[in-house]
Amino acid sequence: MMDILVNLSAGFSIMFTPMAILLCLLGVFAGITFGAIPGISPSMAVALLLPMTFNLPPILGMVLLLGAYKGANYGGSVSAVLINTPGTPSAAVTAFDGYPMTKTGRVGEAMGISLYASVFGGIIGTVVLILFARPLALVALRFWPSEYFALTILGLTTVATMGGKNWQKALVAVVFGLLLNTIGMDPIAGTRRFTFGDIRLLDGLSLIPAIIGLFALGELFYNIEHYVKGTKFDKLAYKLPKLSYYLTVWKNIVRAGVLGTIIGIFPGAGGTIAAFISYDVEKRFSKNPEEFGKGSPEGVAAAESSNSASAGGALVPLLALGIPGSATAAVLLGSLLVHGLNPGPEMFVKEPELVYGMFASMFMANAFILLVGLLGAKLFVRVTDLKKTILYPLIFTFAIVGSYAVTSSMYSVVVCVVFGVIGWIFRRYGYPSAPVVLGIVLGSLAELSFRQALIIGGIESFYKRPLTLIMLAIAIAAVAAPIVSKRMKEMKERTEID
Amino acid sequence: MKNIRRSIGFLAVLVTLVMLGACAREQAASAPAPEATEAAATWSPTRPITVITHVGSGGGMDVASRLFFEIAREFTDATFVVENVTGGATMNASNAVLGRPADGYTIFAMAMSNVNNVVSNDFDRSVYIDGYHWLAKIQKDPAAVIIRKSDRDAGMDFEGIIEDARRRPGQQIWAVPVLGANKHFEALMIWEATGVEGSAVPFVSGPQGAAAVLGASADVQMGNPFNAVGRDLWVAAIASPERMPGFEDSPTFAELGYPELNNEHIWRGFAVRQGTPPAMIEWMEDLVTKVSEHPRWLKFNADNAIAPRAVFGDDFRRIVDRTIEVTEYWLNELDM
Repeated sequence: MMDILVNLSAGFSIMFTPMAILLCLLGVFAGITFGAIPGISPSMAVALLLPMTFNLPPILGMVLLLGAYKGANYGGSVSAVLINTPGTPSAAVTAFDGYPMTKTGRVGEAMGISLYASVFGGIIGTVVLILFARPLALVALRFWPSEYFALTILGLTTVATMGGKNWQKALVAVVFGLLLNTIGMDPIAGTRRFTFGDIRLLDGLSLIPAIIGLFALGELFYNIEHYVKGTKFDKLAYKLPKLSYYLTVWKNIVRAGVLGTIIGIFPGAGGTIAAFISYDVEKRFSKNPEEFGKGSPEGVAAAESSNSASAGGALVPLLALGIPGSATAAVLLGSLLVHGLNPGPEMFVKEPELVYGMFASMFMANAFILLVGLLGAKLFVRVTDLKKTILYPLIFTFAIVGSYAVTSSMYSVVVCVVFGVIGWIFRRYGYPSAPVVLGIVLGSLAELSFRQALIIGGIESFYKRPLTLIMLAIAIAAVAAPIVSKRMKEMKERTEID
Repeated sequence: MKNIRRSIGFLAVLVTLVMLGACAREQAASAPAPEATEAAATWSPTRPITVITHVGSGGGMDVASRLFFEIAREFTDATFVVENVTGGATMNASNAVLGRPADGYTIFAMAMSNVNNVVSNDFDRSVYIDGYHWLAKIQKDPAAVIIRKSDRDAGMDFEGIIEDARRRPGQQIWAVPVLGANKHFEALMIWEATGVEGSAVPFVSGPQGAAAVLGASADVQMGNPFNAVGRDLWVAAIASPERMPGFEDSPTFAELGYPELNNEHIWRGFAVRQGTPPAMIEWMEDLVTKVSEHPRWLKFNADNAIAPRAVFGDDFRRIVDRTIEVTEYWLNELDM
């Protein structure tokens, strides 16, 4: 512990130099700006700044990139809250409640919660990273494919609470998402599935354009259908709440932050599963679960805290083992490699200034996010003040340009528009779009890990490994609990009537 | 009703516009681009050169390309812009390059996997292989058999791995990134040469394969030496003419009695469209030669356990042809 504090103070001494402060601020500012643009994911935001780091000392390069990483994670929530356009799969969860809050005029409240939850979630993730990087990374390594499969099943069970009374529609939506995953090359045998000879479909559907289409364009088309000249958003409360207001959701922030960090350490879909599971957990803990999905501050807090904390979690396997836990971590790994630095256990011993300088920069980045976020939020919220005749074409343009940026091809634009129509149809007939995202995100990991587990240990993998069994049992319980409790309540009521 | 009609009308207009745009662009991409008609005696770029790579940001060829062209700035005033065109089993990038004019302003930063994919998906080789001038191979990443350090400390080595595979045929798990591609073929070659059979499991990427071995869900990783660097992993055999710096305790396949495996590696390089002005090709060859000898490039490669190479034109094409032969052979053997 003493070593950590000594190294951390050395890290902060690096950070308190004008150049480091300037680069951190620049990274955060660029990250928030890029992250708020639909289609520019945190990994793209970091990659755009990567060439700038080639001629910088390694620590300063990492300060810039980490600032951008953290900033972009928060920036994604800005577009999710304001225009229902999540830039990343995990930010989709923020849109569940953030956008309904905006629509009902509580835009300042939604922006404030997402900002504070993002900052404090980020701090929780960083603290856990500093204290437990190595042991947590070793836990992640002990996850075999059967455990990954069980984790995806656990993630999929969140659809049970997401759907609420309309669980049948949510189930249809998640199965639709899972089926979409079968498009592309078989992950094991390499055979083509449902590509119809189109090579652009070989790697499956592009996820980000699909999400932009489902959420942004789906909502846009629905709004156009119901457009009445002269209507505006409900009277908007732009002002961010007072500091004391955020204390009402501190439990959600802490719980989701810890959960987000822990689940975020698993390479692959950690961050997204973390956001969905944290949201699910908070809904179960909440005294007002019926408000979730309709504009619950607790929902925004859970989603953003978990999303931000998972960034710290994704750095756990990167720094402790050299294994990137997310697409952004892969870009950070690339930056370290350019400088001849190999992350892993040896880096903590050989380059403590660099490692702890990075940790210190993450704290500083969180402080700058708060600063830039507070100043920017006042500006961002004005987006909703635009006339709908200006706002809607702007959203459409951003969606199209953002989609194009993902693969630099019109294919992504077509995917975005097609999913926009699907999102509109879903919205029209009361099917939630979020389970589709869940199905698309988790489907490929579920299929791959299921088949890996079968090759490695056969069907026994799923009942002979205790952790797999426990997680599958929790997943079953998560689905069964609401049904059982409802039945018991009905039985009790019937008994009382009798 | 009026609203529905209006929204459907709006949608129809939007979708039509987008589709028209898409078609126009794709048409342009598939149409043969104009050939360069004149080859200047000397070539000097007058606008930015786009370097298209098939991997996403942070991928092996992305990082290598960005650094390569950053160093290149020391030798030229040209501006290089690296563009990541992912998806379509690497073919989206290839199509993007082939859809642009053969004027020297588009370079394809590609790898062996592009050629693997052309063969395994039975794409038109007259377009995706013969359509390129194979400009320069810049990196050679040797094949490596990787196990846990704890296993090495317990007495395991390459011969031990083979013995273990012999004891439990088809049960020893080898982590590879994907099946039906280069690392899988390398594992098959080793099993064929040593007369054993393991079970290859895809773990998506090199780092995730390393994680699988560290976490004991796989016994062996078929990877590159760099996958072991900084981790509790050890290279039990390496495809290299001599022991590699930084891997002095790792024997070569030749030392272990399998010289036929000693040249297995994955390569990365640059290609341009056939018809590119010869003067541009000469200019790039000169640039590649200079960067290949630059201390910063050499250090980057040494740090990542990669052998930098500068192999040009016909020699590079012969390497591509061998990749095609090997891929065809193993895909037939695997009935894939």
